[in-house]
Amino acid sequence: MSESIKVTILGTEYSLRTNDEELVRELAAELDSELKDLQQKLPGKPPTTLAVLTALNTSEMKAHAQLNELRELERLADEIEHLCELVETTR
Amino acid sequence: MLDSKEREAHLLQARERLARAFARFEGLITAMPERLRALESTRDKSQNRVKEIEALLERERAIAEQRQSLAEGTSDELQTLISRNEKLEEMVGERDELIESLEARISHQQSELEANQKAHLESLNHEEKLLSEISVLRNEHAGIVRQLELLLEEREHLQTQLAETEKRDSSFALTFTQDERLGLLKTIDTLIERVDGLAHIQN
Repeated sequence: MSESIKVTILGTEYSLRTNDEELVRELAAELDSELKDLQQKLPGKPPTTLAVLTALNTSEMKAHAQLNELRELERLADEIEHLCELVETTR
Repeated sequence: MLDSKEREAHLLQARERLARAFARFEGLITAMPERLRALESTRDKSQNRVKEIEALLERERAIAEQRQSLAEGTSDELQTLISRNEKLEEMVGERDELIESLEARISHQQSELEANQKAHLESLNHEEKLLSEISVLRNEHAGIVRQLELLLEEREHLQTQLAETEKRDSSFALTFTQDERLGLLKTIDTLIERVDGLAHIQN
């Protein structure tokens, strides 16, 4: 059941609809913190630039996370298949 | 570098592979209790078998000890038998030598026997010849004896004739001439010599 919440990111308030308010609020707070950190590092840059840079950072992190997840999934699949072979060969 | 869609596609494939692996593993896990029971049963059987084998080993050990004891006991006996065997082999060697010596003697005596048999046969042949000669000589002797008897009879007859002649001569001394008397005396002497010769041959 979605509900409407309001979050503030880099001084601008946004109305959002979500099924997980706590998670969205937490992610909004993280994004606000990252944008503010970047604003301090790059003073005078417009919010759009800061948003694009943050989006790029987030995309990079997502890509790394996906690659890590892929490696982990393959490792788990290898281990489980190996276990299966072990069990099957001991029959 | 993979783009986002490719990463998603790879992640999807990896998740599907993981799901298949889990499903396979789950099947194995589901069958695991039964497998464990089977393994426990096998383990129990193996343990029982191990106990049986240990009992068998214990028996074998006891038997081995008995055999060892028997072997030690028989070792002395074996040594005695070996020494007896050595003595017997020595005796057999001596007997073999004796047999060889006896065989040599037998061979020698056989040769002698064959020579003696040959000599005996020759003696028999000689004896047969001698018997044949003796038989001939006996026949000759019998003939000579017969001749002697005849000559003795003849001599007796002649002596009788001589006696009668002497008697007649004494009564008819004048009947014979001197030459006739000498002729008669020579005839008588010849007869006497023949008789003496036959008597000598008979002796």
